[in-house]
Amino acid sequence: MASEDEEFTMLFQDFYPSLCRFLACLLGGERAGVAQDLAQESFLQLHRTAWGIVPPGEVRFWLYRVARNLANNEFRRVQTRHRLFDQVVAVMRPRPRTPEEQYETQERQELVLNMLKVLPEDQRAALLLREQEQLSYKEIAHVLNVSENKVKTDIYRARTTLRERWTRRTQAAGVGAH
Amino acid sequence: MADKGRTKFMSCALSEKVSLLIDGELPPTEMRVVEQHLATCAACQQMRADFLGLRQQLSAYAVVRDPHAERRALAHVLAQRGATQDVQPWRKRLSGAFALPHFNFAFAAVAAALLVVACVAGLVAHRNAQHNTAVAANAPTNSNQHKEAQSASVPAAAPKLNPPKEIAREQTAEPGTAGVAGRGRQQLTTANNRVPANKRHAPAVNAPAQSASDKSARERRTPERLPRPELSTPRFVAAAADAATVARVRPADAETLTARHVEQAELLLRTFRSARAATGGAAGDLSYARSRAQQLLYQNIVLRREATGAGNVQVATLLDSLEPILLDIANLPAAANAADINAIRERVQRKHLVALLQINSTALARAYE
Repeated sequence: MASEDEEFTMLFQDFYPSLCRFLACLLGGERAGVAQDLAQESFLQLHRTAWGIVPPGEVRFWLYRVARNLANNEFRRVQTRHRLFDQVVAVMRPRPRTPEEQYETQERQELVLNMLKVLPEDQRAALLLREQEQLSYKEIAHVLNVSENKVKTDIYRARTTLRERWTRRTQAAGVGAH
Repeated sequence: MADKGRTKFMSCALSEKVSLLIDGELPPTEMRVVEQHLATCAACQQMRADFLGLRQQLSAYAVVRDPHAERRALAHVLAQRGATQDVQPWRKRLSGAFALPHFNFAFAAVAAALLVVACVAGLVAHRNAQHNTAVAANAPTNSNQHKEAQSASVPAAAPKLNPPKEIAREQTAEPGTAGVAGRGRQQLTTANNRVPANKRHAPAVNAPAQSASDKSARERRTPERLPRPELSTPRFVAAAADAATVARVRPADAETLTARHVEQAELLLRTFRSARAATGGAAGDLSYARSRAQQLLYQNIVLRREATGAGNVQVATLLDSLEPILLDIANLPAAANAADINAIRERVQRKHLVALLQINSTALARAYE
Protein backbone atom coordinates (compact mmCIF):
# COMPACT_ATOMS: atom_id res chain seq x y z
CA MET A 1 0.00 0.00 0.00
CA ALA A 2 2.80 2.41 0.88
CA SER A 3 4.64 1.78 -2.39
CA GLU A 4 1.42 2.24 -4.34
CA ASP A 5 0.91 5.59 -2.61
CA GLU A 6 4.46 6.58 -3.41
CA GLU A 7 4.02 5.66 -7.04
CA PHE A 8 0.79 7.60 -7.22
CA THR A 9 2.40 10.59 -5.52
CA MET A 10 5.26 10.61 -7.99
CA LEU A 11 2.83 10.45 -10.88
CA PHE A 12 0.82 13.28 -9.38
CA GLN A 13 3.87 15.47 -8.92
CA ASP A 14 4.99 14.77 -12.46
CA PHE A 15 1.78 15.52 -14.29
CA TYR A 16 -0.49 17.61 -12.08
CA PRO A 17 1.07 21.03 -12.81
CA SER A 18 1.15 20.55 -16.57
CA LEU A 19 -2.34 19.10 -16.49
CA CYS A 20 -3.50 22.22 -14.65
CA ARG A 21 -1.87 24.37 -17.31
CA PHE A 22 -3.47 22.42 -20.15
CA LEU A 23 -6.91 22.64 -18.55
CA ALA A 24 -6.56 26.32 -17.74
CA CYS A 25 -5.60 27.14 -21.31
CA LEU A 26 -8.40 24.96 -22.57
CA LEU A 27 -11.04 26.42 -20.29
CA GLY A 28 -10.20 30.07 -20.13
CA GLY A 29 -8.63 32.56 -17.73
CA GLU A 30 -11.58 32.99 -15.41
CA ARG A 31 -11.68 29.32 -14.53
CA ALA A 32 -8.22 28.66 -13.17
CA GLY A 33 -9.73 27.25 -10.00
CA VAL A 34 -11.95 24.96 -12.02
CA ALA A 35 -8.87 23.78 -13.91
CA GLN A 36 -7.28 22.61 -10.67
CA ASP A 37 -10.50 20.88 -9.63
CA LEU A 38 -10.69 19.09 -12.95
CA ALA A 39 -7.05 18.11 -12.70
CA GLN A 40 -7.71 16.59 -9.30
CA GLU A 41 -10.79 14.87 -10.67
CA SER A 42 -8.69 13.41 -13.47
CA PHE A 43 -6.34 11.84 -10.94
CA LEU A 44 -9.25 10.57 -8.89
CA GLN A 45 -10.72 8.92 -11.96
CA LEU A 46 -7.34 7.44 -12.70
CA HIS A 47 -7.32 5.77 -9.33
CA ARG A 48 -10.93 4.66 -9.42
CA THR A 49 -11.05 3.19 -12.88
CA ALA A 50 -7.64 2.86 -14.46
CA TRP A 51 -4.97 2.44 -11.81
CA GLY A 52 -3.26 -0.85 -12.39
CA ILE A 53 -5.15 -1.35 -15.63
CA VAL A 54 -3.70 1.30 -17.93
CA PRO A 55 -0.08 0.49 -18.76
CA PRO A 56 2.39 2.88 -17.10
CA GLY A 57 3.38 4.38 -20.44
CA GLU A 58 -0.24 5.17 -21.23
CA VAL A 59 -1.13 6.88 -17.96
CA ARG A 60 -0.13 10.32 -19.15
CA PHE A 61 -2.27 10.08 -22.27
CA TRP A 62 -5.12 8.67 -20.26
CA LEU A 63 -4.94 11.64 -17.90
CA TYR A 64 -5.02 14.17 -20.70
CA ARG A 65 -7.91 12.43 -22.35
CA VAL A 66 -9.92 12.44 -19.17
CA ALA A 67 -8.96 16.04 -18.50
CA ARG A 68 -10.06 17.05 -21.96
CA ASN A 69 -13.38 15.26 -21.55
CA LEU A 70 -13.94 16.94 -18.22
CA ALA A 71 -13.16 20.27 -19.83
CA ASN A 72 -15.69 19.56 -22.55
CA ASN A 73 -18.27 18.84 -19.91
CA GLU A 74 -17.38 22.12 -18.32
CA PHE A 75 -17.76 23.87 -21.67
CA ARG A 76 -21.19 22.47 -22.16
CA ARG A 77 -22.13 23.44 -18.66
CA VAL A 78 -21.19 27.08 -18.63
CA GLN A 79 -20.42 27.88 -22.28
CA THR A 80 -17.11 29.53 -21.56
CA ARG A 81 -15.56 29.05 -24.99
CA HIS A 82 -14.70 32.72 -25.41
CA ARG A 83 -13.90 33.85 -21.87
CA LEU A 84 -10.77 35.77 -21.12
CA PHE A 85 -7.75 34.05 -19.59
CA ASP A 86 -6.97 36.64 -16.94
CA GLN A 87 -6.85 34.35 -14.01
CA VAL A 88 -4.94 31.75 -15.98
CA VAL A 89 -2.31 34.33 -16.77
CA ALA A 90 -2.11 35.34 -13.16
CA VAL A 91 -1.63 31.73 -12.08
CA MET A 92 0.38 30.29 -14.91
CA ARG A 93 2.78 32.98 -16.07
CA PRO A 94 6.42 32.55 -15.12
CA ARG A 95 7.85 34.87 -12.55
CA PRO A 96 9.56 37.72 -14.41
CA ARG A 97 12.56 39.46 -12.99
CA THR A 98 11.61 43.09 -13.50
CA PRO A 99 8.33 44.92 -13.58
CA GLU A 100 8.97 45.83 -17.17
CA GLU A 101 9.59 42.25 -18.17
CA GLN A 102 6.59 41.26 -16.16
CA TYR A 103 4.37 43.70 -18.02
CA GLU A 104 5.75 42.69 -21.39
CA THR A 105 5.36 39.01 -20.70
CA GLN A 106 1.86 39.49 -19.46
CA GLU A 107 0.98 41.47 -22.53
CA ARG A 108 2.29 38.82 -24.86
CA GLN A 109 0.61 35.99 -23.04
CA GLU A 110 -2.70 37.79 -22.88
CA LEU A 111 -2.40 38.34 -26.57
CA VAL A 112 -1.87 34.66 -27.25
CA LEU A 113 -4.62 33.60 -24.92
CA ASN A 114 -7.02 36.04 -26.49
CA MET A 115 -6.25 34.43 -29.80
CA LEU A 116 -6.51 30.92 -28.45
CA LYS A 117 -10.04 31.47 -27.35
CA VAL A 118 -11.25 31.96 -30.92
CA LEU A 119 -10.12 28.50 -31.93
CA PRO A 120 -12.59 25.64 -31.94
CA GLU A 121 -12.15 23.41 -28.93
CA ASP A 122 -10.76 20.44 -30.83
CA GLN A 123 -8.15 22.57 -32.61
CA ARG A 124 -7.21 24.29 -29.37
CA ALA A 125 -6.82 20.98 -27.53
CA ALA A 126 -4.70 19.45 -30.29
CA LEU A 127 -2.45 22.52 -30.55
CA LEU A 128 -1.94 22.78 -26.80
CA LEU A 129 -1.05 19.10 -26.53
CA ARG A 130 1.45 19.53 -29.31
CA GLU A 131 3.04 22.81 -28.28
CA GLN A 132 2.91 22.58 -24.50
CA GLU A 133 3.08 18.84 -23.88
CA GLN A 134 5.16 17.89 -26.95
CA LEU A 135 2.96 14.91 -27.74
CA SER A 136 3.28 13.28 -31.13
CA TYR A 137 0.38 13.28 -33.56
CA LYS A 138 -0.22 9.64 -32.80
CA GLU A 139 -0.29 10.33 -29.07
CA ILE A 140 -2.59 13.32 -29.55
CA ALA A 141 -4.93 11.17 -31.62
CA HIS A 142 -4.85 8.61 -28.84
CA VAL A 143 -5.66 11.19 -26.18
CA LEU A 144 -8.40 12.92 -28.15
CA ASN A 145 -9.73 9.69 -29.58
CA VAL A 146 -9.58 10.94 -33.15
CA SER A 147 -7.64 9.96 -36.26
CA GLU A 148 -4.12 11.16 -36.94
CA ASN A 149 -5.30 12.88 -40.11
CA LYS A 150 -7.72 14.95 -38.08
CA VAL A 151 -4.94 15.85 -35.68
CA LYS A 152 -2.74 16.96 -38.57
CA THR A 153 -5.53 19.02 -40.04
CA ASP A 154 -6.57 20.58 -36.75
CA ILE A 155 -3.05 21.60 -35.83
CA TYR A 156 -2.38 23.08 -39.23
CA ARG A 157 -5.64 25.02 -39.26
CA ALA A 158 -5.07 26.23 -35.71
CA ARG A 159 -1.60 27.46 -36.60
CA THR A 160 -2.70 29.24 -39.70
CA THR A 161 -5.58 30.91 -37.83
CA LEU A 162 -3.34 32.04 -35.02
CA ARG A 163 -0.66 33.11 -37.44
CA GLU A 164 -3.06 35.32 -39.25
CA ARG A 165 -4.48 36.85 -36.08
CA TRP A 166 -1.08 37.25 -34.50
CA THR A 167 0.30 38.98 -37.51
CA ARG A 168 -2.71 41.26 -37.77
CA ARG A 169 -2.59 42.32 -34.15
CA THR A 170 1.13 42.81 -34.00
CA GLN A 171 1.00 44.81 -37.17
CA ALA A 172 -1.81 46.88 -35.69
CA ALA A 173 0.21 47.43 -32.50
CA GLY A 174 3.33 48.24 -34.45
CA VAL A 175 5.22 45.32 -32.81
CA GLY A 176 7.02 42.63 -34.78
CA ALA A 177 5.79 39.07 -34.78
CA HIS A 178 8.90 37.91 -32.96
CA MET B 1 -5.27 28.91 -46.03
CA ALA B 2 -5.12 32.56 -45.14
CA ASP B 3 -8.47 34.20 -44.73
CA LYS B 4 -9.58 36.11 -47.82
CA GLY B 5 -9.93 39.85 -47.38
CA ARG B 6 -7.65 39.84 -44.40
CA THR B 7 -3.95 39.35 -44.05
CA LYS B 8 -2.82 37.56 -47.17
CA PHE B 9 0.01 35.17 -47.05
CA MET B 10 1.80 33.72 -50.00
CA SER B 11 0.39 30.27 -50.41
CA CYS B 12 2.31 27.24 -51.39
CA ALA B 13 1.38 23.69 -52.21
CA LEU B 14 3.69 22.44 -49.49
CA SER B 15 2.45 24.80 -46.76
CA GLU B 16 0.81 22.02 -44.81
CA LYS B 17 4.02 20.03 -44.98
CA VAL B 18 5.81 22.82 -43.14
CA SER B 19 3.54 22.25 -40.14
CA LEU B 20 4.41 18.56 -40.21
CA LEU B 21 8.10 19.34 -40.61
CA ILE B 22 8.38 21.44 -37.47
CA ASP B 23 6.56 18.70 -35.56
CA GLY B 24 8.88 15.99 -36.85
CA GLU B 25 6.00 14.07 -38.33
CA LEU B 26 7.36 13.69 -41.83
CA PRO B 27 9.01 10.49 -43.04
CA PRO B 28 12.70 10.96 -43.88
CA THR B 29 12.21 11.06 -47.64
CA GLU B 30 9.48 13.71 -47.46
CA MET B 31 11.44 15.67 -44.91
CA ARG B 32 14.39 16.04 -47.27
CA VAL B 33 12.08 17.17 -50.04
CA VAL B 34 10.42 19.83 -47.86
CA GLU B 35 13.75 21.07 -46.52
CA GLN B 36 15.03 21.45 -50.02
CA HIS B 37 11.87 23.36 -50.90
CA LEU B 38 12.28 25.65 -47.92
CA ALA B 39 15.65 26.69 -49.18
CA THR B 40 13.97 28.28 -52.20
CA CYS B 41 10.45 29.26 -51.01
CA ALA B 42 10.13 32.53 -49.10
CA ALA B 43 6.49 31.94 -48.25
CA CYS B 44 7.22 28.62 -46.57
CA GLN B 45 10.19 30.11 -44.81
CA GLN B 46 7.99 32.84 -43.35
CA MET B 47 5.38 30.29 -42.40
CA ARG B 48 7.89 28.16 -40.58
CA ALA B 49 9.18 31.17 -38.70
CA ASP B 50 5.66 32.24 -37.72
CA PHE B 51 4.73 28.75 -36.60
CA LEU B 52 7.87 28.49 -34.48
CA GLY B 53 7.07 31.91 -32.98
CA LEU B 54 3.63 30.72 -32.00
CA ARG B 55 5.18 27.66 -30.47
CA GLN B 56 7.45 29.85 -28.42
CA GLN B 57 4.52 31.92 -27.17
CA LEU B 58 2.40 28.96 -26.25
CA SER B 59 5.19 27.08 -24.52
CA ALA B 60 6.14 30.32 -22.72
CA TYR B 61 3.49 29.44 -20.20
CA ALA B 62 5.93 27.66 -18.00
CA VAL B 63 4.45 25.33 -15.42
CA VAL B 64 4.43 27.25 -12.15
CA ARG B 65 5.09 24.88 -9.28
CA ASP B 66 3.35 25.87 -6.11
CA PRO B 67 4.43 23.21 -3.63
CA HIS B 68 1.86 24.28 -1.06
CA ALA B 69 -1.04 24.08 -3.49
CA GLU B 70 0.23 20.82 -4.89
CA ARG B 71 0.46 19.28 -1.45
CA ARG B 72 -3.09 20.34 -0.72
CA ALA B 73 -4.32 18.89 -3.98
CA LEU B 74 -2.41 15.65 -3.47
CA ALA B 75 -3.72 15.33 0.07
CA HIS B 76 -7.24 15.83 -1.20
CA VAL B 77 -6.83 13.15 -3.86
CA LEU B 78 -5.16 10.69 -1.50
CA ALA B 79 -7.79 11.29 1.15
CA GLN B 80 -10.58 10.39 -1.22
CA ARG B 81 -8.49 7.62 -2.58
CA GLY B 82 -7.86 6.08 0.76
CA ALA B 83 -11.32 6.63 2.16
CA THR B 84 -12.58 3.23 1.15
CA GLN B 85 -9.43 1.45 2.10
CA ASP B 86 -9.34 2.50 5.74
CA VAL B 87 -10.73 -0.71 7.19
CA GLN B 88 -7.45 -2.55 7.01
CA PRO B 89 -5.79 -1.35 10.25
CA TRP B 90 -8.45 -2.66 12.59
CA ARG B 91 -8.61 -5.90 10.72
CA LYS B 92 -4.98 -6.46 11.49
CA ARG B 93 -5.85 -6.05 15.14
CA LEU B 94 -8.28 -8.90 14.76
CA SER B 95 -5.33 -11.24 14.92
CA GLY B 96 -4.70 -10.10 18.45
CA ALA B 97 -8.17 -11.08 19.55
CA PHE B 98 -7.61 -14.66 18.57
CA ALA B 99 -3.86 -14.89 19.09
CA LEU B 100 -3.27 -15.69 15.47
CA PRO B 101 -0.03 -14.22 14.11
CA HIS B 102 -1.29 -13.82 10.59
CA PHE B 103 -4.99 -13.37 10.61
CA ASN B 104 -6.83 -13.70 7.40
CA PHE B 105 -10.20 -12.09 7.56
CA ALA B 106 -11.67 -14.32 4.92
CA PHE B 107 -10.45 -17.33 6.84
CA ALA B 108 -11.96 -15.91 9.99
CA ALA B 109 -15.31 -15.41 8.35
CA VAL B 110 -15.31 -18.97 7.05
CA ALA B 111 -14.19 -20.31 10.41
CA ALA B 112 -16.88 -18.32 12.19
CA ALA B 113 -19.52 -19.64 9.85
CA LEU B 114 -18.32 -23.23 10.34
CA LEU B 115 -18.31 -22.75 14.09
CA VAL B 116 -21.84 -21.47 13.98
CA VAL B 117 -22.99 -24.40 11.89
CA ALA B 118 -21.26 -26.83 14.23
CA CYS B 119 -22.91 -25.26 17.24
CA VAL B 120 -26.30 -25.39 15.60
CA ALA B 121 -25.79 -29.02 14.75
CA GLY B 122 -24.69 -29.75 18.29
CA LEU B 123 -27.65 -27.93 19.74
CA VAL B 124 -30.07 -29.78 17.52
CA ALA B 125 -28.46 -33.09 18.41
CA HIS B 126 -28.57 -32.26 22.12
CA ARG B 127 -32.22 -31.33 22.01
CA ASN B 128 -33.04 -34.42 20.04
CA ALA B 129 -31.22 -36.49 22.63
CA GLN B 130 -33.17 -34.83 25.38
CA HIS B 131 -36.40 -35.43 23.57
CA ASN B 132 -35.55 -39.06 22.98
CA THR B 133 -34.64 -39.44 26.60
CA ALA B 134 -37.93 -37.99 27.66
CA VAL B 135 -39.79 -40.28 25.31
CA ALA B 136 -37.80 -43.29 26.44
CA ALA B 137 -38.28 -42.36 30.06
CA ASN B 138 -42.03 -42.67 29.82
CA ALA B 139 -41.91 -46.23 28.51
CA PRO B 140 -39.59 -47.97 30.94
CA THR B 141 -40.70 -45.94 33.98
CA ASN B 142 -43.14 -48.56 35.34
CA SER B 143 -40.72 -51.45 35.43
CA ASN B 144 -37.94 -49.42 36.92
CA GLN B 145 -40.07 -47.97 39.57
CA HIS B 146 -41.34 -51.42 40.47
CA LYS B 147 -37.77 -52.41 41.13
CA GLU B 148 -37.35 -49.35 43.25
CA ALA B 149 -40.26 -50.34 45.30
CA GLN B 150 -38.73 -53.77 45.85
CA SER B 151 -35.26 -52.59 46.78
CA ALA B 152 -36.24 -49.31 48.35
CA SER B 153 -33.16 -47.91 46.79
CA VAL B 154 -32.74 -45.37 44.17
CA PRO B 155 -32.64 -47.17 40.87
CA ALA B 156 -29.51 -46.90 38.81
CA ALA B 157 -31.56 -45.77 35.92
CA ALA B 158 -33.11 -43.03 37.91
CA PRO B 159 -31.28 -40.24 36.11
CA LYS B 160 -32.68 -41.45 32.86
CA LEU B 161 -36.16 -41.26 34.22
CA ASN B 162 -35.88 -37.64 35.00
CA PRO B 163 -35.86 -35.12 32.25
CA PRO B 164 -32.93 -32.76 32.74
CA LYS B 165 -35.22 -29.82 32.36
CA GLU B 166 -37.10 -30.70 35.48
CA ILE B 167 -33.91 -31.14 37.38
CA ALA B 168 -32.43 -28.01 35.92
CA ARG B 169 -35.44 -26.02 36.96
CA GLU B 170 -34.97 -27.27 40.42
CA GLN B 171 -31.37 -26.38 40.12
CA THR B 172 -32.29 -22.86 39.32
CA ALA B 173 -34.54 -22.69 42.29
CA GLU B 174 -32.01 -24.14 44.70
CA PRO B 175 -28.64 -24.47 43.16
CA GLY B 176 -26.24 -26.85 44.79
CA THR B 177 -28.89 -28.52 46.84
CA ALA B 178 -28.19 -32.21 47.24
CA GLY B 179 -31.78 -33.16 47.20
CA VAL B 180 -32.57 -31.43 43.98
CA ALA B 181 -32.30 -34.54 41.94
CA GLY B 182 -34.43 -36.38 44.39
CA ARG B 183 -37.12 -33.76 44.31
CA GLY B 184 -36.99 -33.68 40.58
CA ARG B 185 -37.39 -37.34 40.41
CA GLN B 186 -40.02 -37.09 43.02
CA GLN B 187 -42.06 -34.87 40.76
CA LEU B 188 -41.94 -37.40 37.99
CA THR B 189 -42.38 -40.44 40.11
CA THR B 190 -45.04 -38.81 42.15
CA ALA B 191 -46.94 -38.38 39.00
CA ASN B 192 -46.65 -42.09 38.44
CA ASN B 193 -47.43 -42.99 42.07
CA ARG B 194 -44.92 -45.74 42.05
CA VAL B 195 -42.01 -44.51 44.08
CA PRO B 196 -41.97 -43.55 47.69
CA ALA B 197 -42.27 -39.85 48.18
CA ASN B 198 -38.97 -39.17 49.90
CA LYS B 199 -36.24 -40.71 47.88
CA ARG B 200 -33.56 -38.64 49.51
CA HIS B 201 -33.58 -40.78 52.55
CA ALA B 202 -33.61 -44.07 50.74
CA PRO B 203 -29.86 -44.67 50.90
CA ALA B 204 -29.72 -44.03 54.65
CA VAL B 205 -32.61 -46.29 55.44
CA ASN B 206 -31.47 -49.27 53.46
CA ALA B 207 -27.97 -50.15 54.59
CA PRO B 208 -27.44 -53.23 52.40
CA ALA B 209 -28.07 -51.13 49.37
CA GLN B 210 -25.59 -48.48 50.47
CA SER B 211 -23.13 -49.02 47.63
CA ALA B 212 -25.85 -49.16 45.10
CA SER B 213 -27.40 -46.09 46.58
CA ASP B 214 -24.06 -44.31 46.53
CA LYS B 215 -23.73 -45.15 42.94
CA SER B 216 -27.23 -44.05 42.37
CA ALA B 217 -26.54 -40.91 44.30
CA ARG B 218 -23.64 -40.19 42.02
CA GLU B 219 -25.86 -40.81 39.08
CA ARG B 220 -28.45 -38.58 40.61
CA ARG B 221 -25.89 -35.88 40.87
CA THR B 222 -25.11 -36.25 37.23
CA PRO B 223 -28.35 -34.67 36.13
CA GLU B 224 -27.69 -31.87 38.59
CA ARG B 225 -24.62 -30.96 36.64
CA LEU B 226 -26.54 -30.68 33.46
CA PRO B 227 -26.98 -27.02 32.73
CA ARG B 228 -30.27 -25.54 31.79
CA PRO B 229 -30.81 -25.77 28.08
CA GLU B 230 -31.55 -22.10 27.88
CA LEU B 231 -28.22 -21.33 29.56
CA SER B 232 -26.21 -24.03 27.85
CA THR B 233 -26.47 -22.35 24.50
CA PRO B 234 -24.80 -18.97 24.54
CA ARG B 235 -26.98 -16.37 23.01
CA PHE B 236 -24.36 -15.44 20.48
CA VAL B 237 -24.31 -18.97 19.17
CA ALA B 238 -28.05 -19.01 18.77
CA ALA B 239 -28.10 -15.56 17.31
CA ALA B 240 -25.08 -16.24 15.17
CA ALA B 241 -26.63 -19.51 14.10
CA ASP B 242 -29.64 -17.57 13.00
CA ALA B 243 -27.36 -15.09 11.34
CA ALA B 244 -25.45 -17.85 9.64
CA THR B 245 -28.64 -19.09 8.07
CA VAL B 246 -29.60 -15.64 6.91
CA ALA B 247 -28.49 -16.46 3.43
CA ARG B 248 -30.99 -19.26 3.34
CA VAL B 249 -33.89 -17.33 4.77
CA ARG B 250 -35.89 -14.51 3.45
CA PRO B 251 -34.37 -11.04 3.54
CA ALA B 252 -36.98 -9.99 6.10
CA ASP B 253 -35.50 -12.50 8.54
CA ALA B 254 -32.02 -11.12 7.98
CA GLU B 255 -33.21 -7.64 8.71
CA THR B 256 -35.02 -8.76 11.81
CA LEU B 257 -31.83 -10.38 13.02
CA THR B 258 -29.93 -7.24 12.19
CA ALA B 259 -32.37 -5.12 14.16
CA ARG B 260 -31.98 -7.44 17.12
CA HIS B 261 -28.21 -7.39 16.79
CA VAL B 262 -28.14 -3.61 16.63
CA GLU B 263 -30.26 -3.44 19.75
CA GLN B 264 -27.98 -5.85 21.57
CA ALA B 265 -24.93 -3.91 20.51
CA GLU B 266 -26.49 -0.71 21.76
CA LEU B 267 -27.16 -2.29 25.13
CA LEU B 268 -23.60 -3.54 25.32
CA LEU B 269 -22.14 -0.13 24.58
CA ARG B 270 -24.40 1.48 27.15
CA THR B 271 -23.29 -1.10 29.68
CA PHE B 272 -19.68 -0.57 28.74
CA ARG B 273 -19.97 3.13 29.38
CA SER B 274 -20.52 2.46 33.05
CA ALA B 275 -18.04 -0.38 33.36
CA ARG B 276 -15.39 -0.02 36.02
CA ALA B 277 -11.73 -0.61 35.45
CA ALA B 278 -9.63 -2.83 37.65
CA THR B 279 -8.15 -0.82 40.50
CA GLY B 280 -5.79 -1.74 43.30
CA GLY B 281 -5.84 -5.42 42.63
CA ALA B 282 -9.61 -5.58 42.52
CA ALA B 283 -10.89 -6.93 39.26
CA GLY B 284 -13.14 -4.70 37.21
CA ASP B 285 -16.54 -5.76 35.96
CA LEU B 286 -15.59 -6.17 32.31
CA SER B 287 -15.96 -9.90 32.02
CA TYR B 288 -19.53 -9.68 30.82
CA ALA B 289 -18.71 -6.92 28.36
CA ARG B 290 -15.79 -8.89 26.95
CA SER B 291 -17.70 -12.09 26.50
CA ARG B 292 -20.72 -10.29 25.12
CA ALA B 293 -18.55 -8.33 22.71
CA GLN B 294 -17.02 -11.52 21.43
CA GLN B 295 -20.45 -13.02 20.88
CA LEU B 296 -21.71 -9.94 19.10
CA LEU B 297 -18.55 -9.79 17.02
CA TYR B 298 -19.38 -13.08 15.36
CA GLN B 299 -22.89 -11.87 14.67
CA ASN B 300 -21.62 -8.57 13.36
CA ILE B 301 -19.25 -10.20 10.91
CA VAL B 302 -21.95 -12.38 9.43
CA LEU B 303 -24.63 -9.70 9.35
CA ARG B 304 -22.29 -7.13 7.85
CA ARG B 305 -21.43 -9.48 5.04
CA GLU B 306 -25.09 -10.13 4.53
CA ALA B 307 -25.85 -6.42 4.37
CA THR B 308 -22.99 -5.82 1.97
CA GLY B 309 -24.16 -8.60 -0.28
CA ALA B 310 -27.70 -7.26 -0.19
CA GLY B 311 -26.50 -3.80 -1.10
CA ASN B 312 -27.68 -2.29 2.16
CA VAL B 313 -25.00 0.34 2.39
CA GLN B 314 -26.39 2.07 5.45
CA VAL B 315 -26.48 -1.06 7.57
CA ALA B 316 -23.18 -2.33 6.23
CA THR B 317 -21.53 0.98 7.09
CA LEU B 318 -23.02 0.97 10.59
CA LEU B 319 -21.88 -2.57 11.26
CA ASP B 320 -18.49 -1.76 9.82
CA SER B 321 -18.15 1.11 12.29
CA LEU B 322 -19.27 -1.12 15.12
CA GLU B 323 -16.97 -4.04 14.41
CA PRO B 324 -13.65 -2.53 15.54
CA ILE B 325 -15.26 -1.38 18.78
CA LEU B 326 -16.54 -4.88 19.50
CA LEU B 327 -13.12 -6.22 18.67
CA ASP B 328 -11.38 -3.88 21.05
CA ILE B 329 -13.78 -4.61 23.87
CA ALA B 330 -13.35 -8.34 23.31
CA ASN B 331 -9.59 -7.79 23.30
CA LEU B 332 -9.47 -6.05 26.65
CA PRO B 333 -7.29 -7.86 29.16
CA ALA B 334 -8.73 -9.24 32.35
CA ALA B 335 -7.19 -6.39 34.31
CA ALA B 336 -7.85 -3.59 31.88
CA ASN B 337 -6.86 -0.20 33.14
CA ALA B 338 -8.91 2.95 32.97
CA ALA B 339 -6.89 4.33 30.05
CA ASP B 340 -7.76 1.40 27.83
CA ILE B 341 -11.41 1.60 28.72
CA ASN B 342 -11.59 5.34 28.29
CA ALA B 343 -9.92 5.11 24.87
CA ILE B 344 -12.68 2.84 23.67
CA ARG B 345 -15.35 4.99 25.25
CA GLU B 346 -13.98 8.06 23.51
CA ARG B 347 -14.06 6.32 20.16
CA VAL B 348 -17.63 5.25 20.75
CA GLN B 349 -18.54 8.80 21.67
CA ARG B 350 -16.64 10.27 18.74
CA LYS B 351 -18.47 8.03 16.31
CA HIS B 352 -21.80 8.68 18.06
CA LEU B 353 -22.24 4.96 17.89
CA VAL B 354 -24.80 4.59 20.63
CA ALA B 355 -27.08 7.16 19.04
CA LEU B 356 -26.58 5.65 15.59
CA LEU B 357 -27.36 2.20 16.88
CA GLN B 358 -30.44 3.46 18.63
CA ILE B 359 -31.71 5.23 15.54
CA ASN B 360 -31.01 2.29 13.29
CA SER B 361 -32.47 -0.16 15.75
CA THR B 362 -35.69 1.80 15.85
CA ALA B 363 -35.79 2.25 12.11
CA LEU B 364 -35.12 -1.39 11.40
CA ALA B 365 -37.65 -2.53 13.93
CA ARG B 366 -40.31 -0.27 12.50
CA ALA B 367 -39.57 -1.32 8.96
CA TYR B 368 -39.90 -4.95 9.66
CA GLU B 369 -42.60 -5.17 12.27
